[in-house]
Amino acid sequence: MIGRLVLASAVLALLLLPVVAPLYYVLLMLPFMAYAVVLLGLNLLFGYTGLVSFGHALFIGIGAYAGAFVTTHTPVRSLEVILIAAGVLGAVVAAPVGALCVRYVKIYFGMLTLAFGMLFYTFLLKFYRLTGGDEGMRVLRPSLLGLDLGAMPKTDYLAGPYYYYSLGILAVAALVMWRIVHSPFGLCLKSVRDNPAKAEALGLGVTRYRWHAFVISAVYAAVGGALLGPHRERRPHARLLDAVRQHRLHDAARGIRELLRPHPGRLRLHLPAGHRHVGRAVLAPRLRRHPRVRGDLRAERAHGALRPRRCRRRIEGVSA
Amino acid sequence: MILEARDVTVFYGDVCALAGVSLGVRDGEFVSIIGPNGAGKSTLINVLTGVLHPTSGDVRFNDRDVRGIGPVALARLGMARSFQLVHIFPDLTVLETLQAAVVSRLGRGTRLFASLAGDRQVQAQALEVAELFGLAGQRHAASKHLPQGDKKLLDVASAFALRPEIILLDEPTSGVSTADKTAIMEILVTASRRIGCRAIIQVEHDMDIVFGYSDRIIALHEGKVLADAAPAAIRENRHVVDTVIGRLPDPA
Repeated sequence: MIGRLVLASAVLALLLLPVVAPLYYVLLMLPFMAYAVVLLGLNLLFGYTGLVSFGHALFIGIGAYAGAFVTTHTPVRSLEVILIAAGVLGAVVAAPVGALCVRYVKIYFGMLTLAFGMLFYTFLLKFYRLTGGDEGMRVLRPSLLGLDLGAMPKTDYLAGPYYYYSLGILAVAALVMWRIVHSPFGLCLKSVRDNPAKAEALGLGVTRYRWHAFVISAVYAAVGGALLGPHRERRPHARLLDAVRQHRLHDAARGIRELLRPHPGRLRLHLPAGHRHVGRAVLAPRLRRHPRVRGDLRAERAHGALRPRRCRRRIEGVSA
Repeated sequence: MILEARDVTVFYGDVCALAGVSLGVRDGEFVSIIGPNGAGKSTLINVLTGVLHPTSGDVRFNDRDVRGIGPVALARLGMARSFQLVHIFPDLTVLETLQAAVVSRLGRGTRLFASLAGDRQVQAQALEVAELFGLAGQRHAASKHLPQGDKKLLDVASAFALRPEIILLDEPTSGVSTADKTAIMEILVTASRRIGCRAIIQVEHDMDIVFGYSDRIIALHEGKVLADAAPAAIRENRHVVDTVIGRLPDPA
């Protein structure tokens, strides 16, 4: 009941945000919503199937670059077409990559996905003519639901139609994911996560379910990536770089098995550094109670406590 | 014969775990496999359940070669097993565990957009098994919070939820208090009759259970079948009693 109230008020807040909040915060929400779609898929793989992927930036990149290719190399500008193309391309790439990766589990799976992610990253960087290398590619402004909004000022476009479009996609993605995790398929994924040997004894093909989850999560990542492209308009790979380097996606998703649980954490990461304490004050008590997060926080604090001292020593060394 | 093994030999490197074991299980039989540690019981179970490919010999289930075909394929063909150490899904509830088995049996695991809660057939069959095993009262409890005896029961119940033709139980009462053992066995026998299971094979160390429920006992020793006979005949066989059983239970 409380969960539903929170969800309803969150949806209401997102709906009203462009009306009441300053433009700056509205624009901050755009990457949040794109990453929220990615996170839905990642949570299916991590929270429901028990596989930690470090390489999903690969599929975010595929989605973002799909948008760039479609708008720059074809006359098509429709975002619907871009999203579908991104999803299909994500699935096509994920099918063979996933088939190789899901032969392993735990950290071996994670490392293999990371390897594919880095491979793709290098491809983007080195095939300059095709991808623009570290210059990136332009994503021309897409039309929404057949409406050509090319004449609109950029911020009006992003804070108005594009904002609500993203919100709509996020809502549809969340509903579809809700359906998936509450289906017989979703139950099979959970049993594979909890005890693969037992799942096999019950006649559930563990590898096949892992592969299905991998492909579905890749489609989500690609759709999220395609949604990420237009508001940067340039250099979609910069995002790819972020995602690969920071592993922030996992920061937000750690230890969490419910459909929407990772999202508040992700939201916090989108707040500018100076505002993070706000998110922390609201979210931290809840997150901190989570046993896994508690462990992580302790480690984080220990790490943080070390750092200043090390710096000081270095400074002293210089002065001496 | 539902299940038949002929001349099964398994080598682990140079070590011979099974040396020409033959056995058959007929319709309606309850067969117990006994033997001291290292006799080859687990290897035999692994061969019968298609996990391990025998070095030589034949394993046939319903006249089908099932050597090394793996647990998934075997479960589809109608053979289920439970494990010696409790195998459950810790974070799933009792009902969800049984639903997973039913979903698997009905081949509905790839229904991506169907509603599990709205699938009456799955719901009804899972509940039926829960009631059969006396787990209906705690059907919404997470499996990891169940007492040990109930965990064991759930492990076996999920195997039964597959409605197998034959079921292999690897020490169904291990780790369970003596008081609970007979209760578990009673439930098991009733459930197998109700579900239409054609045969049960169990590996068991508790001789009260073995002699109380089996139609036939197969005694293994050092990778060979020492005896394959009805409980009464095993009782009379001094050789088996001395090497495998040690002390006979009171014939109460």
